[in-house]
Parts: sequence; structure tokens; C-alpha cells
Amino acid sequence: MIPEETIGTMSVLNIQDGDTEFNFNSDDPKEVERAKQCIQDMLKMGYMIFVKVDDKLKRVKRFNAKTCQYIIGDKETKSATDTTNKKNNKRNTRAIDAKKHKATSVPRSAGG
Amino acid sequence: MAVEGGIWAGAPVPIEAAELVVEKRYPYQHLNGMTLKSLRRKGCDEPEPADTSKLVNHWASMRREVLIVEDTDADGKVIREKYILPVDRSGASVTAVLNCIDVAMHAWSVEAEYKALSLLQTLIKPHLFDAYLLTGAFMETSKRSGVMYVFRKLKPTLALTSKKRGGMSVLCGLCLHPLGYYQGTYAGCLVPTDDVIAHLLMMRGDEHKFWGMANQFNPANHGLSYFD
Repeated sequence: MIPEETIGTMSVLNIQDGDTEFNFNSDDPKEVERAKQCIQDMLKMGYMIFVKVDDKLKRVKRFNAKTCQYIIGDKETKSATDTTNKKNNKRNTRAIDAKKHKATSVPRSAGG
Repeated sequence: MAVEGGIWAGAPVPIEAAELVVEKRYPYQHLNGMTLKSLRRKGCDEPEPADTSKLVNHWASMRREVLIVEDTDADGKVIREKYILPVDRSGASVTAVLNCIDVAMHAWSVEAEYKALSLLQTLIKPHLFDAYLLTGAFMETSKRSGVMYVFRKLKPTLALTSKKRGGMSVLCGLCLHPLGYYQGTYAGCLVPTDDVIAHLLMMRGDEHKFWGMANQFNPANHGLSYFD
């Protein structure tokens, strides 16, 4: 049985199911690669992905498959001294563990 | 099948009366502007008579709505017609409701709505979820902007702000459907509670983008459905 602490979860708003959930085992490179492909495709197609961090909802900008982390925008992060940001090479972003944060994905808006 | 093919949000379903509007980057673009009637006509030898009329101008006030429609008659002469309509267009509202029912019967599933309700229950406090179950609406104030939002099932989200002399005023209605919607209705391709969840997540996670992506309706516009 796969330990719960290694499972990442993504929920996608879906026409037929209401809410489709897919999980990936972060210890399995194939599943992580598949998750990476799905998340990158979603971001490319304009899906908005949200994760709850410190009791606030944050939007995901990218997914790091090597470390299995979501990269979120975080204005409170100090870009000059934060080592996380140095690794990400971007200002005002933060990496969070995908296994510990359930994400919800919303398809791109068609207007109304 | 759609999910297995990598289309995680599913396939939009055309219905008889209202045209489907699909987000331009989403697959299934061949369904854009389609109804079941037009899909059936696709196999027909006789072409559908072309609709030459077009809406060239449109404005509304609290009391009336004016449309200028241009058409071409049989001799090729361009004719302009002006239509003045009272704001209380009960006929149009009834049509929108009937089309919504059509969508509910053919495009949505109750199971999907139940799943969406379960997800919404995890996102808002119990008393707000009870309010949503009972009235189809709940409120939340943005900590970022101070704007109060009224999230409603099958209606645009209302954005309210407090007035200096007390009370609240409506800034606008925000209309947004992820993936697609049915023309002339408040129905999106997703089940109603999924639309509400999308509005809530976008407001909380990226309020600026929520306003940028939504259509903003003036309070004078009948589309806000204040009272029905």
C-alpha cells in the first residue's frame, strides 16, 4: 500500500463528474512525470490551479517535477536572501510540497 | 473517454435550443456555436437559410433597453430597425429558464452536482453551506479588497461595496463560466455548483484576474436578475 505521505492529489472541475480527482505517487518517477505533463498541459491551456497554503489560497505558476513541488506566487517572500528563491531563480515565488497540498484546477474561462 | 484522452474537464454537451459557446483554446471547437438541431442539419443536403440580420448597437437604462438591428431584404437593400424593450422582459427571462431546464435534463448530471456540493462543503463554513443549500447563494468578503461577493447558483456573482454614508451598493455583476456556456442562459457547461466553486476559488486565489476574466454587468442590466 502506498503511504499517504507520498501521494499528491489534484482535483479538476469536470463536466461529467463534477470533480475528477487524480493522484500520483511521488516515489514513482513515471507517475510524477505523468503528473508533471498533466499539470504543464493544464497551465499551457490556461487552467488555473489553486492550492491552500497557510490558510490562504494561492495560484500555482509552475510545477517542479524533480522536487515534486508547486511553484506559487508569494509577495511576502524575500527574493534577495531566500534560498528557495535562489534555486527557483525567480523573484517573489515559493516552492511548496505537492504531496502535502491538494490542488484544485479550474478550466479557462469562456466568458458569460 | 474525454478524461482518458487528457481532456480533464470533460466534453461539453450540445442541447436542442441554446447555442454552445466553448472557450477558444479548449478542444471540441467543432461544437462552438452548435445546437443539436444544427448538428443534425449538418448531414442535410439543403442548406439552412442564412440569417442576414446583425445587432449593430445596444444600450440599456434602468427603464428600457434599445437594440438597433440591421438586415438585408430580398432586393439587397439594407434596413435598420430600432427595438425599444422594457427592462422587465419576462418573456426573455422565461426563455432563459426553459433553456436552463433543457441543459439540466441533457447536459448535466445529478451525481456531478452532488460531487461539486461535497467539494464546496470543504471550502466554506457550515452555516454558509446551509445558506447555499437553502437559497442557492452565500456571501464572502474579500480580505484583500474589502469587496463583498454574493456567490449565486445559475446567476452572476454580485460584487458589493459599503457606502460612505452607510449601506451597501452594487458595483457590478460578474459573469464567468469555465470552459463554456449556453448562449442566452445562465447555464455553463459545468454543473451550477462547479461554476460557483470556480468563482470562489478565483476570488480567493487571484481576485485581480477574476475581475479581468469575468464579464462585468452594469446594475441597470437585466442580466443581473436581482429579484428572480
